[in-house]
Amino acid sequence: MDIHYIFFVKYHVEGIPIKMPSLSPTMLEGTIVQWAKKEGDPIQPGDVLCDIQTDKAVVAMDIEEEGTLAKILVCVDVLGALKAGVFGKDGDEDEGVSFMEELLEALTDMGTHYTPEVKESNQVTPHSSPAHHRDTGLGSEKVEVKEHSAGLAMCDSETYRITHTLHMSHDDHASASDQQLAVTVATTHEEDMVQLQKEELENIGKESHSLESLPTVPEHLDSIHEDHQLAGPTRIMPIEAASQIDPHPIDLTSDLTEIQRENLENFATETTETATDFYNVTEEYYEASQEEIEKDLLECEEREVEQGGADYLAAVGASSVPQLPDDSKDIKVGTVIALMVAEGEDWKDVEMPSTEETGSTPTPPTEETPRKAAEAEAGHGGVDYNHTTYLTLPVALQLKTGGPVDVSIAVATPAGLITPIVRGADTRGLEDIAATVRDLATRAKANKLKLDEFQGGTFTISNLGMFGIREFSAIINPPQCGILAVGGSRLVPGASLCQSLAGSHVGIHTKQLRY
Amino acid sequence: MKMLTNILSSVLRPKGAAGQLWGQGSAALMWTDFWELSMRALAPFMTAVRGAGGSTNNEASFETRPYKLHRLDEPPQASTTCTRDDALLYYRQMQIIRRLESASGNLYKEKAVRGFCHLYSGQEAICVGIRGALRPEDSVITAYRDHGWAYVMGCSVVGVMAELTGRSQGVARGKGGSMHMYTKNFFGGNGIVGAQVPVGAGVALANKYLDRKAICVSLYGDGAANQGQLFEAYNMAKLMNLPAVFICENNGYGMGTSVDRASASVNYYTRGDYVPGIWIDGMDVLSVREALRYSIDYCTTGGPSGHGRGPLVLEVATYRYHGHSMSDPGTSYRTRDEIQEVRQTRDPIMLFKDQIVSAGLATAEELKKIDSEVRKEVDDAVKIAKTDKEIPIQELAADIYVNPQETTIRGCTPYDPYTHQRIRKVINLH
Repeated sequence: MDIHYIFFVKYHVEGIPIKMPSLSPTMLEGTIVQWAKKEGDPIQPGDVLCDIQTDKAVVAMDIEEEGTLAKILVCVDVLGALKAGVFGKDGDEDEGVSFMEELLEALTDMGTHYTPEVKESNQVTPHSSPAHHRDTGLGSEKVEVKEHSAGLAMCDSETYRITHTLHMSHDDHASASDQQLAVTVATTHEEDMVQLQKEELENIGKESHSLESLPTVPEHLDSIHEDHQLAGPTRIMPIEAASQIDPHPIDLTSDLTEIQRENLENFATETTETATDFYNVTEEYYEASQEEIEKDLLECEEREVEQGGADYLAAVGASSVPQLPDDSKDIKVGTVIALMVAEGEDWKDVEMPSTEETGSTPTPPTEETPRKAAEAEAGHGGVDYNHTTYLTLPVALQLKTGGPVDVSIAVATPAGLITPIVRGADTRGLEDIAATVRDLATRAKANKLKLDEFQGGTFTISNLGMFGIREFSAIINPPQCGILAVGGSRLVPGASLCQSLAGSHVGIHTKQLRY
Repeated sequence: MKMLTNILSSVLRPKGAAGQLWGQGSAALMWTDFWELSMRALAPFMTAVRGAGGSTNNEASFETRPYKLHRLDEPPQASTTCTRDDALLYYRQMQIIRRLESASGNLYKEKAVRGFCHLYSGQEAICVGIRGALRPEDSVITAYRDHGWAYVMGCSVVGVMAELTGRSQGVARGKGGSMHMYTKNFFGGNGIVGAQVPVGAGVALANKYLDRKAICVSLYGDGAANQGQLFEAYNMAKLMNLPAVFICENNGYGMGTSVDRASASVNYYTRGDYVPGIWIDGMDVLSVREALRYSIDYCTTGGPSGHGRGPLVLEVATYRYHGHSMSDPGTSYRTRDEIQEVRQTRDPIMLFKDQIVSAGLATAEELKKIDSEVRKEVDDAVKIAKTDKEIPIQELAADIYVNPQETTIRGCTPYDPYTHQRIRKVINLH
């Protein structure tokens, strides 16, 4: 009988875990912005290990142990690094360096893992959708996103059209420590796109509409770099997320009915009338109201910027979106971010931790902001069931447009404001409208609306009361005939809901404006 | 031996798949394999503690670093002797403090320690050197950078760490925290900058009044050196001829202000003016110890009454590696290069290690062994500190008074009072 004794020496080095530290009293999460050491580098007490983006600033993490860095378990969060301005360089306004070139350079400097490679191509865009091609008039440029590729996409914040992408494909066969990520940058024909946008907008209304007169979001809120003028305000998000958004079509004239098209032309031709004449108000009042509109827009935009990518991914469906290598989410204080070995031991033999070690971090209380509380109270999609849906029916009944009245309900999604339509609201009951609104809002948040569900419409109701806005004036979305802006309600003796009604005088009898 | 025979028998048996390593039976076994196997098996038995390196001496003499004097004629001794036991003790103490501080920093970053945490890394030579010279009856009082001092004055590592995490095994049962650690003849642990110096003068007065022939060492930093109450303390100590030694731990920076920007005179050992002073290089343990021996002799012998020549103001030049506290990264007012340079060239532990190894008092392997023991001890203490239980809320009213006149202590409202309890023994009571 042979009893097998296998005599071998198992040489396993236990790694000393390095955990995400809490570098400020209020810090609960952080992201790694830059690694100062590579795997295999010796560590002396007092050396800087990595730069961490905390809630307040980018702080260097230094380490007291002596040894060798064995394994890096968490990679750099490129998105976080971009936001942290890690790619900023001082004083090269004269060089005229483009943003993407600087990004590439910074990625090279950042560490061994990135070998950037610029590839000029115009083959970038998202997964094709028929709607996208039908409306944009850009032609049917279909592009395939590389398989197994992760990356970042820079898109226009209003239309979600992708302008640049940064592809990172990693070799699946290599281990994490041997990863060589190839970064490819592809650009689209930026100028062409901007040109087309201009042309399309000019087609809608003739001389009265120009790019400058339309409200735009202030650029500094969206562009990551103040030094670089990007083509319009942009967002940066993981490429898979960006590719799943249906870009907002710019062509607004495709679905107009006869009457609406006629109305639009009539409206557009009356160029001599200024806003002051129409509203019958003084210059000062008009300018003041414009300022308020801008302020409200700014506040909305700031909130959107605050929410950032994490909410967006949640809306899009984070599980289906492949992440950047390893982790681009916020890392909780106490999670193991790297392993090191003590002096004298071979770092290559380190064994990976089997279970995640968590320190005795106390769970912080969840932060309740007024907005979150209001959202939770309001329920779904920011639609206030009470006000907006109650208003839909009477508004629909008041309007006599000669056809079905399609009322758009403004819904706040993380992707922006979208207005799904309740078709034929004048012929439907209140519960029916409420159910439709709820369904539309849920699907809007999940970005699952069909194109015809938010294109068109006769009238819009926009409700910003849950965000604490007392009153605001909204801008009509042509070719609709009016928009009702509902502010917040308060219990004040004698007062009523603050609403402002803007209507084009086409299609609405003057008497109906009094509400 | 049993292990060896097991291994040998397993190797020499003919086998299947694994046997291909060794060939067909015992004939293919090389003598080198046998040697390697037996060495590996016997490895644990072969590392001896003694005699692994050269022989070690029992005592060696060292030169102390030069001193600077203020209103004194003779300096402390230029050379000192150190026994092997003392050398190992000092090395061990300094290593424990270094690891203790590093562990405290990590605990703080894990949010297991809250509040303040001021780390002593880089300044270990001061407390170890001073403690090496003090006698059991001498007292010490210091400021908030007191973890190292608490340890050398007698608190255990578990006691210090559990105090930081606020658990019941802490030296103050978790009620004090980082800045309030106390033990016999150690008066803390004081939060207010410079407040401990007049208190230290008071302890010296008590020592003199009670005729104890003991001194009190009051430590403060370069930032506190400009506080007014220090000069009041100097005056009273000199006037009353108290056995007080005032020591300024000059680490070059207040919180973030360098000494050049904070003080008109950076010679802190001369600040006593009429009080004599000595400047000491604080990176050398033995120099510090020698200076304190001198100070004890100065404060307890000679003079008009024969019981001491009055107070002294010492300045110990040192450096701290961490920031002022855990909320200070430590790099906004000085460069990392500066910190690294001090770490590489003037680290007290490294310097002392070189001294004793080259003098033959200890071998490098011994010291490495001490390192790993220290690491293990501190790691175990950290585990205990994290998992120990906290004291119950009723202990809020425990140990407030030594001699309570009334035992009902008001709570948050007058309607739910606590009862005063005595849980710990009283210390430092004359």
